[in-house]
Amino acid sequence: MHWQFLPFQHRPFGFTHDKGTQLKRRHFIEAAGAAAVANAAGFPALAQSTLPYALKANKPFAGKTVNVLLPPASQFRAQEKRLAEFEKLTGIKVVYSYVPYGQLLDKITTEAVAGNGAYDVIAYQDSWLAALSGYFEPIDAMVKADALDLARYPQVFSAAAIYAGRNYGLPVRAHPQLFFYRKDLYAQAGASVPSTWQEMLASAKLVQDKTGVSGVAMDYVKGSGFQNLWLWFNCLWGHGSDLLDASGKPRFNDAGGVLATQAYVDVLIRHKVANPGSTQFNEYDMVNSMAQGGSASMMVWWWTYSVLTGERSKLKADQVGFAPMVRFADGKSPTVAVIMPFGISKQSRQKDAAWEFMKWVTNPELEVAIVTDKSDAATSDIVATHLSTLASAKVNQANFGLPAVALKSLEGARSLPKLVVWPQVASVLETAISEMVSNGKPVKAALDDAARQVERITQRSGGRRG
Amino acid sequence: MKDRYLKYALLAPALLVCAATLFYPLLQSLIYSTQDWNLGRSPAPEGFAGLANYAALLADPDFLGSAKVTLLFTLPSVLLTIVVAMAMALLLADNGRLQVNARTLLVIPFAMSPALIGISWRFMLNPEFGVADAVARWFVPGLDAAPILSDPVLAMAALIAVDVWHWAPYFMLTFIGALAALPRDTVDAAQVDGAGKIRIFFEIMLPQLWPVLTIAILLKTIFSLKMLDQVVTMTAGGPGVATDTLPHMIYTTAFRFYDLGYASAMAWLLAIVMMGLAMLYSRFVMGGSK
Repeated sequence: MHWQFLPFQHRPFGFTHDKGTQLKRRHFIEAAGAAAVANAAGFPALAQSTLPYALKANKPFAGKTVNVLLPPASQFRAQEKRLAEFEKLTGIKVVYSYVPYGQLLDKITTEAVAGNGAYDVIAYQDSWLAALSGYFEPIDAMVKADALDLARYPQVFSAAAIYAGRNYGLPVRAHPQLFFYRKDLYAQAGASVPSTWQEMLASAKLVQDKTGVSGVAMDYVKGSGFQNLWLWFNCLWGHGSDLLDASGKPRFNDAGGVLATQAYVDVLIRHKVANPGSTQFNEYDMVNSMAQGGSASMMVWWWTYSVLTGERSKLKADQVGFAPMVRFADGKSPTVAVIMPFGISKQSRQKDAAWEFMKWVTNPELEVAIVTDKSDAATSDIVATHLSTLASAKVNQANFGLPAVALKSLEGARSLPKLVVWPQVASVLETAISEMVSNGKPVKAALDDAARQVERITQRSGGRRG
Repeated sequence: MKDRYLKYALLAPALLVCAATLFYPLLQSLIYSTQDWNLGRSPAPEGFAGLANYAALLADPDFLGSAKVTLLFTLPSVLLTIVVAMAMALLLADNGRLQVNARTLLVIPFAMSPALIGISWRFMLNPEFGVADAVARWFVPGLDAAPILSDPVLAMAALIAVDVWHWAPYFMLTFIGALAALPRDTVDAAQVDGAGKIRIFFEIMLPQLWPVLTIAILLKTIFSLKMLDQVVTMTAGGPGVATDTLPHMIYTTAFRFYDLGYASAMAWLLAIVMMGLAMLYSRFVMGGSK
């Protein structure tokens, strides 16, 4: 894994960087202004060499409109607020169209079938890529031509958009897992902050017994974008098992897989430290349970910190603690990361303009500007993808040290498997987990049934002709 | 223009709209159902598969299970909707102020979007913050949270209850109209002869309401067979596959699994059943109007 930061190579005028990584926003505006003046004064050669982020000088795509399809997020609203900067540099107009996350995959599928190229840039989740790769433009040549250094991201983030050896996007939004807990309840119960799954169970039990608040909130329900699989993968990988073996056959029902799944459902069934509503909770319900004081801890993506400390939460910031995600195997097992890259639609009629936008929207300076701007709650966000941002003292200061903890959680993190039949396989697995926790189906039997279904799915993935 | 051409000219716009919005998609989906087409593999149909999709369906335990779930949903939802709607119609048929206001209020569920209904009920049935649990705890203090939607039987019951809540007002209005059209003298004669209210309903009114009831049952069966929104927003087919109805399975197969050929075949099998019901419905309506 590339943990060392390699600075972005296209810095205008060689300005000095904050902590060696960041170009100050004031400097960027000066550079953009100077470039504009140079351009206007008839010095195209100077303008050519000075536009930031490897943007093409002389506005070759001016007048074009790039349509972007993405889910609502304060990070994206914050980008939208700053689009004028990009439009001024390139003359390209950008329009953001939001679709709720739950409907995003359906929308992408519908657009793919319609084939009318309504969207030029599309945000997608990494695990969808294998099935959707035919609808995205490989960007390897563009990345190479503009010398974009993908080592600026944690390896698990940059690898998320790579499928079958080709790159289909750049990470814009990404989530490591964190362990969130109620500082006040943990202090009241004398519980210590866990670093392993076993410690998590012990702490949750102690807090639950001493305070009467459910020890941990889980999200076991099916049908919310496979959310009940994320923590299952922590357990699965933590027990040395995996989804499939090297030959593509199901492996999740081997001895390690059974132990892992048992550990996952036993938080509720055997240890009884999970909130009783967990069988019906999706991720939002789980987060709300903690935000409304119904649960003392949860293991979830880092973005939820803003919900826990937001206006609608009953909690105050000093009640919410966070720590790196708990692990198995003496604290060395992988965590899960979910990544949302931006990709260029293969059906786009203006891929060049779309690539200009991609270069701008993924620049680390923009990211730093967004995560350090807390002036407006609607556009305030903690999500960052660049190693430099995550490690930056300034960014950490503005975000309660969350990025540094996230960086620790990302050590050894893995992303979800990229399979063409992932939606079917995930659907089978989320149903199996739902049956274990809701219907009381034995773990081994449920996993064996699921394995048979997955085998059927992979066998018929080549089609039904002949 | 001669009369015999004029009638075709007047029908032409409606036929064109039907052709564009009904016949073309139907025909296209029929073609897709005989194709191998998974969007994950190809942006266009990959080749003729004959009846392979249909053959695979009939051997697919998930499809057969889903068909069973659809029946388990449809039968009680139709029966309960008709019974509840009839009961409400009998209670609210008079034109007193209370009845008129109650009728107006009761129509609200029918006016709501089905997806919104599903989302609202999902919140109301939330085991921690839902109003259903709060009410239950008000009656029985100290009651543990009941995750209704994660229990296979209760989840199906909730889905049926919400469907009845949604559709009963519509059929109530239909039945109120039918009750108003009943000849009053038959009821009066029965009352003079000393018949009780229950006997009058079952022996005098119900036989006369039967044509309307039949049409209502047919319509509600069609509505129940194609119900999707509440499954998507309330249970997503779960827990397990306890509420995975055919429309939901078709939706997930097409839009989650990208298996458009297979989903089209499923949709056609369901459509054939519904077309049969629609023909029966037409026969009743047209037969009644002759």
